[in-house]
Amino acid sequence: MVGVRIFRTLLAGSWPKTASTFEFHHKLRYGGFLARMPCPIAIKADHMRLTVELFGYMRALAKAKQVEVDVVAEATLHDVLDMLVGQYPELRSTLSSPDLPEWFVFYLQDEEGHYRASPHESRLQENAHILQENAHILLVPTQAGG
Amino acid sequence: MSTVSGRVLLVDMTTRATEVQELDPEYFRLYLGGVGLATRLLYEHMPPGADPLGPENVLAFATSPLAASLVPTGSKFAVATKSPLTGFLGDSISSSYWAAALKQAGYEALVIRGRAEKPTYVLIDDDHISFVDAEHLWGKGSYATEEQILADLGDPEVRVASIGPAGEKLVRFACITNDKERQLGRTGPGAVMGSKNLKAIAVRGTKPIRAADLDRLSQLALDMNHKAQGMATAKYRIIGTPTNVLVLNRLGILPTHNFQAGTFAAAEQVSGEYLHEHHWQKTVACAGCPIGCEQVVHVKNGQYEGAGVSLDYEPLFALGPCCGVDDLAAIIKAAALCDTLGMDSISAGVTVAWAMECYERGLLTQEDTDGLELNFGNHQAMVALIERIGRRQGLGDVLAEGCRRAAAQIGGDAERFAMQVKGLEMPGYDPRALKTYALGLAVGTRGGCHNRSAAYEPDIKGEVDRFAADRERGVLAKRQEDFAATLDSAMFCKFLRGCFQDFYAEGAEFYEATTGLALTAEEFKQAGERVSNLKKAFNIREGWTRADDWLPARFLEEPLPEGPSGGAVLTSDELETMIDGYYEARGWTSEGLMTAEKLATLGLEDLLEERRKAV
Amino acid sequence: MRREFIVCDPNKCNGCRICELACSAIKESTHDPMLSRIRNVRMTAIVMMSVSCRLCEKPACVTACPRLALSQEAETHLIKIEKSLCDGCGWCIEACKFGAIALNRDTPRTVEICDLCYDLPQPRCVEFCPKDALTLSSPEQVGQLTRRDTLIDLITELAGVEQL
Repeated sequence: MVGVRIFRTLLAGSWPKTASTFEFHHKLRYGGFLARMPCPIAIKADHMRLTVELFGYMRALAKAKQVEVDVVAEATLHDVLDMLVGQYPELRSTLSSPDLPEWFVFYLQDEEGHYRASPHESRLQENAHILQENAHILLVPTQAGG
Repeated sequence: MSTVSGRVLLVDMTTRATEVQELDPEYFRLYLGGVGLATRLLYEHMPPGADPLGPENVLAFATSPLAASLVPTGSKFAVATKSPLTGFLGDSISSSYWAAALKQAGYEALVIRGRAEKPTYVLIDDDHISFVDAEHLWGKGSYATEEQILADLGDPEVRVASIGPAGEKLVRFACITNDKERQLGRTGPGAVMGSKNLKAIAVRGTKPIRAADLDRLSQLALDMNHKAQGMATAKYRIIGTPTNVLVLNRLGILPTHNFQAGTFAAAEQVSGEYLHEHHWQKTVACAGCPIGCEQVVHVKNGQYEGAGVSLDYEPLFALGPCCGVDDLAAIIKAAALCDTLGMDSISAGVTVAWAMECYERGLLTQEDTDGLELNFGNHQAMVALIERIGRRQGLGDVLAEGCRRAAAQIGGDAERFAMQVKGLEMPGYDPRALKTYALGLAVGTRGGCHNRSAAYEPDIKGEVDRFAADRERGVLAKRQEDFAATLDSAMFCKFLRGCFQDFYAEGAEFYEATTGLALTAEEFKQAGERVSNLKKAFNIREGWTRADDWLPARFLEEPLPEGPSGGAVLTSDELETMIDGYYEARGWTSEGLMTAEKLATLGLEDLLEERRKAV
Repeated sequence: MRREFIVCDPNKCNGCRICELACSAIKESTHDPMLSRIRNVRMTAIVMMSVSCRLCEKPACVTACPRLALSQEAETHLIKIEKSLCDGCGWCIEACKFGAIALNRDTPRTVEICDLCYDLPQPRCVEFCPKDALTLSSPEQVGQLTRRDTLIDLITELAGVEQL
């Protein structure tokens, strides 16, 4: 078993087992090794693909530094959130939580390349904040402290 | 019944006299406890203008009225003293069993003045106080000191707060360590203990701690313990605050090379995620805490094999990207050294970074550095220098003064990039692209502190535009400071704050169920504002002027060079405007002083006769 | 009746000691780890665990008591203390291999032993442990839980390999 673990760790993007059996059960129940389903088909003409970068324990859950979402052209952050919840079951419990606006903020780049936080209301409004092709979005945990 | 005994123990190290006084019960209504009470006691017992390292300076320890009980995260205590680093208020907070022990011994607070002739430790055994010779402990690290005291006393339940060699040698940012792993970290209280020849304070407490309404308290605690397992604390429990490394790097505000830049090329290698994968052992908790945020990490192989520490973001940034160091094993080793020697890892790391910049600019030569090649990124040099600072050896003796004084010694340009505010070294966020935070940093009573306001919160959460500044930021900074002041006085852990729906109402409920004191949510909130003003009053008494509320020249003259926040800079106008707005929001004069009316509304009239400069 | 006692999972225990506060609070109306029937021990920065009475089949404490103040209930296996006979000599504390007996320092001194909060719906420590490290289990259940955890670990390790 140790050999298996070393083998896994040597390959990029793999994650070791979590802290406790409790968290393990959580992963097993909410997706675990049945995790994310990559999108192998080509993007439709009126769709676009965006990337959402993850940090901290969200990375551990998704087993990836960033994830791709396939959304309609001129999608909004609201759509992105929907697609994330749909495509990544292991992130579902976090992203569907009513507390989400409190603890996570989406960041988008402006024309100068600066990442700016988008107000969380925009995720709730269907017509707000239309995204561009190839937008790179950050999902930032905002609990203060260090 | 109440968990509050209302007693304060006064100890004079010079005469070995001790006295127990009853605190005015109003103090708990006005200041709650913790930082508020400690600051109040400091104000009363320390004569104005005292030398921080002299016998007149006072160490005022105050527990939380909620400590030692079922209140989640309540087991905290604070120390207030005049900081040898800043010359202003040095308040610091720690957690765990020492707080519970002091309360169980029957004291809310402990005030220490004077100076012992030779190394001594104080043993508080309920009502019996003794002064014990500590010659055999002098020179020992904090962990070894505690082990020795426990062995000497033959009682593993004694709780110890002690200093290491750094405190003994009066390193200006020396810390006090309690329960082996926790620290009263910043502003140098360890040096004050060292100046009093006070090696440790050992406490054994056996008295009951009875809550006013145990059933209510139990129910509130059980609910809160459940909430503490939810999303509000997930970041702290899993991977922990080191999550900040990649977040801040992505936003271009990760202080790199002594704040020259906001992105670090090797950020992935020193990230929280990497730390978790390669070094993490377990996540543990301190006394009475349902969250459990201490990320215990260790080094398994290599030249730093065996080093282990509980690592948070701030030591990581200060000893890592700030010094250009990309080796997590070295960072863990350096943080562990700071713990053993007993000094603030933030101040130590940022001071080393300053020295590195001096070296790269030729202001320090290899002769000055005792042969160390003090380039950014040289982790062996960083680790070696940390050791020397803790023991005041060679260049370490200069750096042990803190980067402000060290820069003044070197002179010239060196002061421009000494990254400190009021003498306290900068925490791990770049204020050029977090402008509310820039304000909080400039006006904070402790100096370069992120914790007493967390003013970066509105910036990072997108409540405001982090790249812009305006007068209204003053309202936000005040709000953040007062909230933190209530938390720090009640005391609750800042990591628990997200678990409250309405902090002031729920906090007041906890307070009443434990202490029996019925405070309204409004009174609970007002205590925070009162404590913020009390801290300021202390600083004014010790010579603060508006000129002290400012930021290092680098932030005003050098835009961030590149990266996701490239080009961001803070202008003097912006800072002035925000500071004006803050003083206005506080109800102070344009010079930041307190009017008689303001003091009266807060119930601080007795500070009036002490004021020399109020309008 | 199945013999059950408080079991602590050392992987989940993080040393918060809330169990000690919860126990002393419900039993003595005070917050005092020294009066708790369950005690947490921190050996190192990462090794910690809570221990309380194991309801032994042949309890050494009962045998040791010179005043016959301790006895074991046949049905529940709980250790009963006859307070009028106990004089706080502490012989049972030494006899117990688990350090599961506490000396109540109030006057008159007697000892205290975990009674699984028999008068409450569940033991207080189990209810309060924030990390679910404590469970009320029998030796058979402990074995079963351990076997199940090991199996989950094994399956996930193997599944992890397949993923690559």
